[in-house]
Amino acid sequence: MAGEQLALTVLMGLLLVGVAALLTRIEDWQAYTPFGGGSVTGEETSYGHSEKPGGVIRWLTTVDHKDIGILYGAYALVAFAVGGIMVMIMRLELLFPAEDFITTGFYNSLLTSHGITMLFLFGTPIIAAFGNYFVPLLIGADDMAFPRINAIAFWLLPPGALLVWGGFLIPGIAPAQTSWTMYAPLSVEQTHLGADLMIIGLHLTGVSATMGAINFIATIFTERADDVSWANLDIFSWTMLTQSGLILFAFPLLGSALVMLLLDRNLGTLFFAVEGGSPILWQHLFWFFGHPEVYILVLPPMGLVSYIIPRFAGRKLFGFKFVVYSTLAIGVLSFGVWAHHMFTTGLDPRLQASFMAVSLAIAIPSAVKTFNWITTMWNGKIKLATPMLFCIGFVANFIIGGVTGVFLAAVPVDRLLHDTYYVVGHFHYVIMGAIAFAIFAGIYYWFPIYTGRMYQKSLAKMHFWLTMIGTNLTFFGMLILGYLGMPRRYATYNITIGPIDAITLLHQLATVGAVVLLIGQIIFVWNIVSSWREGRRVENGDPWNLKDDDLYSREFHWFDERLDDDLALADGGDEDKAMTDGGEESTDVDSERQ
Amino acid sequence: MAEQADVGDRFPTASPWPLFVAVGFTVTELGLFIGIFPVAVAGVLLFGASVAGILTEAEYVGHLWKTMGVFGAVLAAIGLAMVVYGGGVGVEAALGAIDAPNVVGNRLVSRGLAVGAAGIILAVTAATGELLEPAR
Repeated sequence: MAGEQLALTVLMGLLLVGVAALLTRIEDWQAYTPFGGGSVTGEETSYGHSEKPGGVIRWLTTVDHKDIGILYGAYALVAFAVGGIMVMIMRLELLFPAEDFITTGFYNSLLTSHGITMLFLFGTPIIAAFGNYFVPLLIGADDMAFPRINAIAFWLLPPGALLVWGGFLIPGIAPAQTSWTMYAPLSVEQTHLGADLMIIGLHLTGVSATMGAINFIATIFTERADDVSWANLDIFSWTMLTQSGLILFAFPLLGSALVMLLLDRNLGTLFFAVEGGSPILWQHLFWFFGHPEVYILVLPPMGLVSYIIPRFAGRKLFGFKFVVYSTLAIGVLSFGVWAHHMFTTGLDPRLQASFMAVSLAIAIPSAVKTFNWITTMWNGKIKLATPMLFCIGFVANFIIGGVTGVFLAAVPVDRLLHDTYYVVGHFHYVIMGAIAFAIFAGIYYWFPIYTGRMYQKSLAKMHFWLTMIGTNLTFFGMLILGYLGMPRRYATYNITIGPIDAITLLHQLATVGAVVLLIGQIIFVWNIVSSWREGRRVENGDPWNLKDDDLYSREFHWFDERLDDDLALADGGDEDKAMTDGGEESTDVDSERQ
Repeated sequence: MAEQADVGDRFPTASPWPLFVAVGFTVTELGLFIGIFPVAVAGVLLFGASVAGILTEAEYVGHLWKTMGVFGAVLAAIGLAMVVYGGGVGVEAALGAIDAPNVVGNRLVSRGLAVGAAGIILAVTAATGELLEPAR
């Protein structure tokens, strides 16, 4: 046996040395085109990267921030689809009380993977997609500070995703059933190999996020153009900088805790054993990372909303300075609230009170932002284009998600609602209702820049309304389910006591909402893909008419310059000209101002 | 503030190494934590060679082979230390650890052997490269 392994090792070693030797032979990758010229999408020539390798090799070797942004975005949307399909299976199982068409074990696996997928494989990477593509453009940098580290950070993600989903993909291996929180002792004692793979995958995504954060910090500090000062740094870059600071302190801790968990599982250490560091140590370490993670996910989307709302309200962001200060305040306070996830673990009541106070205090900077968004819109020249609709949806849903969080921060309320669907409803209002909405707003707002085309307006509005209705149907139902005492994480609810009829009805409403959400997202994907391929070309460097209100910004200026370059090379094609918000001839900007 | 230097000089547009660094790191973690000797060795090799490659390409270091050699020697020392600390010195103990890496007593030794073996292969490769191509 050992002989076979050694022979295999020697073979692998020789192969790898050969590969490495081959790579070092190729001196100039910029000019290396083994698979023929052209790009994968056939539309990328306008990026002015003619010096890059062609074909698949371009995407495998690129260190350009815009290409890496596109890669991050594509990856995150695939993960969003996978996480969405997982939760659809769960919601269909919950349509009726009994165990119907999937086992409880499989439900637990889906539950675990859905959470990890949406937070780490969709949420963090899609923000990195925006950051990579737009932060250098917004601050006038040529690229990220460390382009190669940028590429390493991205390429850690696909293997990470395959490992997180490994339990489903590899036959004969049971997927992890630990929930995304991976509480010890369950996560230590569960023998599934899928759990090891998931933890390793998660560790990789954490390393990736940390490398990305270091890059964003270095870029924003050192690569700004001469005319971009701290005073006029845009709000999105401010939130990316704060988020990167949070990642720098939070993710290495998650990485260390995950390594400790892997060592407990595979090398016999006792970090989280009762006779060692105790299972509660895991909860402290996990939530010291886990709560800042919420703000890691929400701050850049808040930045997107703060950036986009003024451009469709025809005026500058109200109280810019205070929006920046509130971002920094949230960043600092986020590290002082972790134990509000642990009020029911027997924590000292004096500690509970202090964590409650800090948790409640976070409502203040959050409210500062909310009031500033509302005040920016107040009496403004509101244009209800799709990005603006999603921003307004963000504000509405964030208020519900935020206020329900204020209740949960209070110890006595938390004791009642802990581990119920109320918690699930609360954080989904923030994650789906707010974060995902801001991401959709960003995708639509900057669609002309990264595709050179405009999306289809009617499909986009359909996407918004279906998402808004589906989100509220599903997650408001969950808030009421929580008040009725329905515990979270259960695959069945065929109980004999309690308000079973109301619980069944609310579960069915939540499932109907999820189906509405699914239909909305299918329309979204169709819109993005078809518009990217065949949408009307944008020929104006100011597709949102930002110059009218003196809100024209640096990234559209860059886009305009690129359009000029393209026009100089164009062959006089006769494609239709795009209208604002992808509208048809009959809808111009004025008709959108309501 | 950024000095708007010549873009072509400062910013590369393509590099083969990031993908291999990432895959190498992934395979290393898989092999070491799960305890699969050939996978661990392959991962450390790929990771070590790619790190030397990317550092040389980015001109953080001047010599590919010397960097790889130093990296290999450090890994070999770490691996050896793990083997000695784990009590796995000797051919019988080493083969036993490779055979059953997750048995109590073999856990640290098997991982140490993988890291050490990969370090030695890296160092030998670097030495060979230095002899054949001293300019790199």
